[in-house]
Amino acid sequence: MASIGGGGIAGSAKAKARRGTLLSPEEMSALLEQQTVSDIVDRLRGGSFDVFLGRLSADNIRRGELEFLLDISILAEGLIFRPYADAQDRNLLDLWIESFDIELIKNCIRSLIGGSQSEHISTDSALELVSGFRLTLVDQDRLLAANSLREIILSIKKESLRLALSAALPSALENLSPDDMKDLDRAGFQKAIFDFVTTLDRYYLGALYEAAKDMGGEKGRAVRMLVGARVDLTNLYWIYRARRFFGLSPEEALTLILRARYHADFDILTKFAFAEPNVMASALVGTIYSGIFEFNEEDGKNVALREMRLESRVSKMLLSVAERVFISGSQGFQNVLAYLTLKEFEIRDITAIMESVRYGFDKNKTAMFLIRASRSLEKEMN
Amino acid sequence: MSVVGMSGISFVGPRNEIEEIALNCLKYENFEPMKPDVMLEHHPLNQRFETFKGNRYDALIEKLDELWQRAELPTPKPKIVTRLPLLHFEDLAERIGGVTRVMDAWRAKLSELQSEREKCRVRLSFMRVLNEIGHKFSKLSKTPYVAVTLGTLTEDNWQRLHETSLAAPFLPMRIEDSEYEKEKDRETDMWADNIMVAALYGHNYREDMNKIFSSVHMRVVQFDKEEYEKYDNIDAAYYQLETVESEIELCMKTPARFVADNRMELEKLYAAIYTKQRVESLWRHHAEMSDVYVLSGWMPTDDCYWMNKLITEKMSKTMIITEKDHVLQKERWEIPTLLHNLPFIRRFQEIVRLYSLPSYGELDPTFVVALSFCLFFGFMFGDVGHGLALILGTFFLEKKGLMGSAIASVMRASGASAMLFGVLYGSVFGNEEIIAPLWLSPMHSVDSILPVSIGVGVAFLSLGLCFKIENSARREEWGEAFFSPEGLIGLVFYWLAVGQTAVLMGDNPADALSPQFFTVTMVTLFVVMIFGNGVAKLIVHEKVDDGGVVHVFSVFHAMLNFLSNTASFVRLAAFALNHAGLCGAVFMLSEMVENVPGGKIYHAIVMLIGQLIVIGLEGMIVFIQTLRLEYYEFFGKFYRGGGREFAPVLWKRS
Repeated sequence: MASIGGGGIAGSAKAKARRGTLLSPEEMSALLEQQTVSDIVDRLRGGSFDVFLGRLSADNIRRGELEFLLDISILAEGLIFRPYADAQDRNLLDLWIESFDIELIKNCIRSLIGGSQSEHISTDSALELVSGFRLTLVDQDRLLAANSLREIILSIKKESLRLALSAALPSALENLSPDDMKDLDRAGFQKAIFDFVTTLDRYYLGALYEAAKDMGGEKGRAVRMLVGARVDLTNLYWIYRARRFFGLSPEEALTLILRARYHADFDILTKFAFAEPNVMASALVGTIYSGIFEFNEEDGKNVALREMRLESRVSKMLLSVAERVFISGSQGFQNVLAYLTLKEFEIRDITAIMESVRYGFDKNKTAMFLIRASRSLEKEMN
Repeated sequence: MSVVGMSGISFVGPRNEIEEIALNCLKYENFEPMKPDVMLEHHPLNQRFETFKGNRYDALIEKLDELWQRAELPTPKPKIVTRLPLLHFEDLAERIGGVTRVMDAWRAKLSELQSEREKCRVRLSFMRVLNEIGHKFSKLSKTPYVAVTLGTLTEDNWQRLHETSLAAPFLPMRIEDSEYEKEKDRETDMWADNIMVAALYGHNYREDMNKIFSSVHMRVVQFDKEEYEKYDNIDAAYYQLETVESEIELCMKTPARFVADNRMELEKLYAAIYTKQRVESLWRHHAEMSDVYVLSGWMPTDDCYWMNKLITEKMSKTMIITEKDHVLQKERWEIPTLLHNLPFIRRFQEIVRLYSLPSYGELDPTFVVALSFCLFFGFMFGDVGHGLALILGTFFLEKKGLMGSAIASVMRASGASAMLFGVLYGSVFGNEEIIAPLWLSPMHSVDSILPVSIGVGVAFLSLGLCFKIENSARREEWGEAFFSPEGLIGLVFYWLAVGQTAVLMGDNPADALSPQFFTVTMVTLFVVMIFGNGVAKLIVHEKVDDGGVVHVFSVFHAMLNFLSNTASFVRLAAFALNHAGLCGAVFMLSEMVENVPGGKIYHAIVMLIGQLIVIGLEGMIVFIQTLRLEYYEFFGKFYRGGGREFAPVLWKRS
């Protein structure tokens, strides 16, 4: 019988309490009704986001800075639970929080390729908002000063990740500056960057799953469910994108995936990879992931809509797994991870609402694709 | 003993003058930069300044560091370059460009040679494997149905390739070759951790296989027809490998040759870039508006005076804005702490730092810690031989890098104190018959050593309370200083209690205060403490602490602490006795084994091991006990800590 330390129960209780502080569908609906992003930021101030959004200038809210600050808030939430964790849980939590490092690396890659460096000026001061946080995977100063993909790799502290990224980086791209990159063949270049980014995700999810595998009892089962669902969906999603957008062969698609498996074992993944792109969903019939990759005729015509619907379904699946952990009533650190998952989707919903307001998207359509709030909001909108 | 007075200082002026100031600050290592908006928070110009960060010279200095590292030479120790304003980043970058071109060419050549070497090794390895099954290497180029591709990849990628083969028509084989593993030179071989693989597949599957190889980032080794024929013979393959290895060895010497040929110029360049890099580190938080530069930071107040003088004399276009510490403290800025102590005392700053650095404005307890640490350690570990052994042992551990220099210094001082007390106790390696005690022998004077240790405790605790009063006065917390249990009232209460107890237990108990007077006084003081909040509010218009029930409990807690903290110092005597007792036990054991055959040798062994155990184990225990007395009994009375260390930009890069 798994023993639950006092810290696990306290962390679990705190997670359940904080779950109550997440924005309700009504509050999300109110955000969606705002006219400008500044109005949204004003509404979010005064709540749990105040310490992060308080520093923003009302007149000039930069998108990158705003999204970064919202991401920081998830980080801060994770760190709150650290004192309640025993050694094993803390290791898992630290790995979970490493997603922040991974996202920072990805942002730097995007900045390098896209040529915009200005978003990182505030990184230092933003990170000061989260006391006790240190980037563990990467040397922050070196990363932010990197002017090529090779320099990004050299800023990474973890040797196994550094070696994996070095192997993934084509020598032709190693030392190219942002200006040089603009002249490259886009398709080949994007494949190379996709490789690079998937190597990062492979490392992150692989490490997380390895840590979850060692956990025993009810806590281990629930944590593996949370992490395993991510692993499976990531594998399926990568195969889907590789086949659909990059035109990779089934075998090539299979080389991309994580070696960690949860419900979607290698047989299922192989069937999925070898299925024709239009009927990939048929390979998942009988699994818990059936339905995610099913599209109707309308989706077939509108690629952007189809992809948004897919991303939304994947997120909702993960959300439902997190909700299930809470509903099960179990006590333990798994509730902390479930709460952090819910928080992550809250931030994604807020970001989606901001995009919608900023660019004047249809509010009904936006409501459809929100992760946490969509069911209630859809009803309301209709 | 002091926490050095600090001031916030901002320099506003043209770039060349600010750079000159930065150079001065670097020379004296007395400036910790901070963001200009801290000092200029309320200044109208604050909103118009652009702030920058990032040191452009980092990349330049790293290129030079790499050159020296590749040349296997220690990087030069540069001196400050004073003609700084004449050196611009663009000029230096251009000069570095020449170095970069050499390094790039070298790297490209080395990479090419390493690829060639890897190819040779893979070929040789596979040839050995084929030889074992009686096939020639050249046959690989003529296989009618099956194609074979050789290559290397990481372990992780190998797993991915292997798994994919379960769903695809190819067969990957991992080639284990111990010779290949032995031949790897992990220092120069970029792919030393890769494993060797051969993949077999149908010719019609070649295109798909190439994509798969690319997907798993396999370094494919390709041979043309000529190579298959030319190196069919293992000897020829070995020869080719040796040739490439020699070329690599020669190539590895290129950086050293380049440095040797251009040493003077490179060292001058290094000094210039290093100076610029340090200056930019110092002003990494500087702000800029048009041609006006702002550099803000913390500086010792005394140095601000000299800086002001320098600027007035030599820099006409620069303005200084200074904020005194008390102003910044009122605005709740965290002022850094810089300790300044005599050389002997300085080594004990590490002991204070282990607990926490004093916050700015707080009393620096280092001086008292230095004296008391030595006193307590010597008291409990008093032995001439053991003290000497501790000193010598510390030198040894420090030399081997097993002990930091600060702690080693502390232990040497403690060892010297132990030697001194050894003379007072008359103990040399536990033997009390070599020298006569100048003071007393612990084992034979228990009745004397116990009261002495209590007396030391009373004095030490009283000092702690005095520090508390002083600290409270510095913070203008008069209520806390006078009316709290750790304030003046508490101190008087404590002394009265101790004094009365000492007299009653002494030779002339009749000299004690009359019971009525004593009781009334103590009760009065106690009541004042209990109602401390009210009294403090009435007299000095302040609170002592939270008040109410919490305050009452805190008074009782403080009273108990007086008793327990005082009693705690009995450990001084206890460990002195313990030390003597342990030594006695060692002597006893060694005497017991003397009567057996070879007894002299056993006697020596037991004596040696016993002494080592006493020094090592007891030394560690006494160190911990001393720390406890310092941290809990002493610091607990007055110390807040939580200071942030003054971190000036140093000339030497970390």
